[in-house]
Amino acid sequence: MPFHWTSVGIATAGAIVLGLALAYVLAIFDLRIVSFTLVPLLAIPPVILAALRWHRALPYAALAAGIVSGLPFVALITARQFRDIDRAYGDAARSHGASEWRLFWRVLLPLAWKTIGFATALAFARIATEWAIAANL
Amino acid sequence: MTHARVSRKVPPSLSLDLDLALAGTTALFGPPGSGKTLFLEILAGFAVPDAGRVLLDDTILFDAESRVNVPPRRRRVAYVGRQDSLFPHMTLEQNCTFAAQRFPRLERHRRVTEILERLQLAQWAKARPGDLTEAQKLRGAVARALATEPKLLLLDERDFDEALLREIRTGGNIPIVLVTGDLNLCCAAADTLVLLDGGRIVQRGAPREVMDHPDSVEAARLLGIANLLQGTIAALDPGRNTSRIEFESFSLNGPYLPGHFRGDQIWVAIDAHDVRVHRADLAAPLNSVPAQLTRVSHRAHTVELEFAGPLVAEISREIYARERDNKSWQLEFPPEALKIL
Repeated sequence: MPFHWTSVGIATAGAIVLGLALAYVLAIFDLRIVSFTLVPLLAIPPVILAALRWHRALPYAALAAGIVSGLPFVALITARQFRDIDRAYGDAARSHGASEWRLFWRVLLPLAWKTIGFATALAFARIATEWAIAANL
Repeated sequence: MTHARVSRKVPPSLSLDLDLALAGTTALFGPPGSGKTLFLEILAGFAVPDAGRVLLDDTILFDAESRVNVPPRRRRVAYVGRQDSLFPHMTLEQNCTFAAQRFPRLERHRRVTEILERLQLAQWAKARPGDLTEAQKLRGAVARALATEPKLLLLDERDFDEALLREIRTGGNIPIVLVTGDLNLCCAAADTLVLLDGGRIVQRGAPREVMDHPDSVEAARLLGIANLLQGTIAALDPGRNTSRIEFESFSLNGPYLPGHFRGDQIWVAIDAHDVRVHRADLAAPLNSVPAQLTRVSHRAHTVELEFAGPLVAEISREIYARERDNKSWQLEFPPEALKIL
């Protein structure tokens, strides 16, 4: 199976979108248990490998596995960053009439973009490595 | 009607019942930990009291019994916090536009321009907060708050000055709740002064009224009145409008005290500014007390003298220059300076 750039790209994008959503939830509700379960997720090395072997017929399974292996990077690192953003910004936005959605897009994301970029790079590297290994099996 | 009656048991505890005027500035003054900021956070919706009710313009914002708690973004209460909170990734103008979101596009632009001009920030409209000085950031934060057209403006303890408060008010009579540690600002810019301590209202009233007539020892302490003496009323003469109050080691003449009897224990507060100092060998004016100088402390415009007792007098540099070589001192307490608590 050849190395598949498109799939790696889609898996990375999926990891970012889901990871950011999860990061926001983690930052707001401080869910320690979820954070802790994300860590072992990082430690499952052959997610994609296994998915490819067992579901060779299902391309989406590989994609999902890719997302799962990249997601913890984005979620954990970005949640940390969201929490480090001063509460004063959130309070100011809310008391000036901004919805949570607007606060997320206009304030939290722009303030955290460097960290998000960093987390994305890690997630991408991880997904690409696994895919490369799987592709050469 | 704007009214807040709130209480909270978990520390920092709070129990307040406060009417806020529909226009004008209410200043909250109190030591750290007296619940000033907590009260603002309750009004803004960031802190939840255990019991009570908050009304703004006859709209219920919070009611513990019916479990109403309007979220901050729907309250139309703009909160300028103690920390700088202008969004660093937006220009000043964008910050204001962000806050003016609920207006239609053209109106939004007009409002923001008008407000920035009014607060003398027009030339900084395209600057990011990082390029502004602290004072400009504060003005920017106020401008952003005004851009939402709030029904109540909350200003937490920052370096507000009289000019800024005046400029805020020229744009419309938004009621303001101002937390400040600056009594001069209270007198200059506030319509009501509320003294807070330990989450309770100690005294409230027009600033001048509160300053001139503190009604408890606690209020006098909060206002920083240096000389607080406990005494006994020795004589009362309504005909001549005088009274005589005896203290531990001396006695003073004061004005007649309606509502008091001979033998009553009272507290007397005398502002350090009102105390006059004289050479001891001079003929003693009314209400003079010999005193032993213990410490001299130079201030920016005045000199503070501490005498055994302790009694404190704050005199101008000019008078100090005249009196500095005194070998022994006497203090004069003018009868009209005696504030009976």
